[in-house]
Amino acid sequence: MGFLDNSGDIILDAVLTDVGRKRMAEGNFRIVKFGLGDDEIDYSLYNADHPSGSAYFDLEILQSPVMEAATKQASSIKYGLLSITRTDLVYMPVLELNQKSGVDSVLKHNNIILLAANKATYTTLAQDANIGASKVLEPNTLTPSSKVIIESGITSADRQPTRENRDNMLVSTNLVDLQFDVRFDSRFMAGLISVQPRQDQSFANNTDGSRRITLTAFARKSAVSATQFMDNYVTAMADGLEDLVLQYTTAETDETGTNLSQLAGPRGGMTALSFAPSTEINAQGTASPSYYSLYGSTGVVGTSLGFASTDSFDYIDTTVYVQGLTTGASIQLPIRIVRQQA
Amino acid sequence: MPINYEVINPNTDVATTKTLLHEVIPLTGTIVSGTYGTFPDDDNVKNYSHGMFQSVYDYPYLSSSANHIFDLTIGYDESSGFYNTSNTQNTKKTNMYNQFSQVLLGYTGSANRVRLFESDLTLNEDNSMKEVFFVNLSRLLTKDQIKKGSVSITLGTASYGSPFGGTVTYTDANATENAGTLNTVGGDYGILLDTANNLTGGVVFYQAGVMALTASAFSGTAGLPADFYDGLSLADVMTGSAITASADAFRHRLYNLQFNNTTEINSAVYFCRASHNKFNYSNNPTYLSSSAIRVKNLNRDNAPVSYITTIGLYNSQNELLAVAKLSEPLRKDPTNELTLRVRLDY
Repeated sequence: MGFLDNSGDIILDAVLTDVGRKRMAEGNFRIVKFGLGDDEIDYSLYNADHPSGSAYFDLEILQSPVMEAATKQASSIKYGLLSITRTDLVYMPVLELNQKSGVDSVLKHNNIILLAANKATYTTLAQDANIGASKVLEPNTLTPSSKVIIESGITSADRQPTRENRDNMLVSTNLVDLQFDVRFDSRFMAGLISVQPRQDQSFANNTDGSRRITLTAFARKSAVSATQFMDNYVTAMADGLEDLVLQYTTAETDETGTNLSQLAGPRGGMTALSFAPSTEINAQGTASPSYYSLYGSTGVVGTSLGFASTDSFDYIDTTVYVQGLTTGASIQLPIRIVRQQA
Repeated sequence: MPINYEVINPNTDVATTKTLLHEVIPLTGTIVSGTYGTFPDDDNVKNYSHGMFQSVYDYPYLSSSANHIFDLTIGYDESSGFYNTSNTQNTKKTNMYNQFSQVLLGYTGSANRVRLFESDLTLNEDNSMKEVFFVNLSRLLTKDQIKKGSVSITLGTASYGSPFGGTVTYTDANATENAGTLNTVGGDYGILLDTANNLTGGVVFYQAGVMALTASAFSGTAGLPADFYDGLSLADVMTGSAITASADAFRHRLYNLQFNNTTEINSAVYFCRASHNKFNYSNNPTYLSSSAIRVKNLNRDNAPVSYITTIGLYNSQNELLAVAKLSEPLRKDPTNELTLRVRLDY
């Protein structure tokens, strides 16, 4: 994939994708809409302090070389441009992984989220002195004690996370994510489990700053193929809740709510997730399923993985991609699926 | 993946066009004789055990880099003076003639016999060409068809030792897109003429990519050389030698062959219209710094700006069917509207 010649007039280099050719062979090639992308652009090159003036602010961006079009669908538009009618937005939401203790959020271990491949492994790791139940996801359960909690909102503390700011910056601008697209590798994960948007579920705080979090109702979500995103990947839609962790001047514990929320600014929506490992990798016993030797490691002593246990473990590292369906904000979750050889 | 799309209206945003693309195809005689190996056993010339034709490549044919450029064969009709059952490959030579004739000209008369090639545009059984060299050009070169009026072939007419001591050049100069050709079951054909000397060399079938050269095409103004091929006359070669030897003789006397091919390109042009209030923000992770939009520099009065590099064309299932890349980023902000014209060729 070379760069396009940008020395003359602006040209368009267009190709059919692999799916496009397949649809053409099937006789149902029908283009009905378009989207725009800017994957090559690094907006940090925008220099609003350029000494030569505003005409030079985006000079480096406009000089960015653009790669040739690739036929593999997955290698095309990854993010995309957004259509928002308002022009006065200064902040936009991002997705953040909640790492606050005390909100039932699974905590990263060595910068990675641990998912037990089976119940026996979970029991071992939940009792491990270095891990515990807060640092490992229980597999395939509708009552997970720890969850992957993702929040959507403003990370900057320049805008306080009050209800007023939340309403002005997120609600009135329609930038609250209450549904999330979750894409994962179907070779290693059989399914997604997400919180249900019921009235008895909540992610909020009280006016005194104490937690008002109830994440107890989970449901399995069906997945469909997402090979247009990445080979072997499937996608499932996770439901979310309003993230009502707010700043209260009356708070006794934490005025800004950052004791519960990962976001320093106004919070919009959130979701809580867990996963079901695939049947190819969840077997209990001493014999390691072949996927571990193919895609991961086998027979690794627990201490070298940062566990207190000296037992042997197998593991596979994978990445889960989460995107807010309203804002398009996305986050990548590094996940290690661990299996005890026992 | 993008989450915002704009609809493409098939009535107002899609146009279809057809354009003809022409390429010049020059084939010098040296590439078919003597460049690779030693004539007549050139490495880029492939003979078959059936012996009915000879294939010529642009590179030694055992290489995967070789491209097939044309096939050579000869044939004569049963009414030809050359026809004799004792001739070498007599049946195969008549079969070759009949095969080209039935495909390119079809049948005629109450006996339903194949037409004879003629060196005119009438097909009235005058000026028949009963002994013919066939140059069957590869589709790789001719593409959809040979451009009318672009064919030129130069043949050596001198003795075998130095065949290009005299040459004759035939062109289809009288053929145009609208005149100078005749339409047959095998497509349009035109006449190959040496207009300066009023000689006729044969015919060229534009869609089929076949040149049928009469045996007398090698006469030039001085008449057929007695030493046509390695001590043999043309009649000896066509009757007493195998088809491959006649093909070798043709290659030995081919000085130059040139034509323009034609590729028909059907295009669909999609007009992707980004209005002033669309696509001004981005999901690019670098677009934000601590949730603040970098290009706004914390000033709500500054317009949002994005930079387009890619256009994705989708179906109703959000499957990306085609993708187009701009050669340089294009600034999009609320003060401008863009129409990006994406052309897909089929």
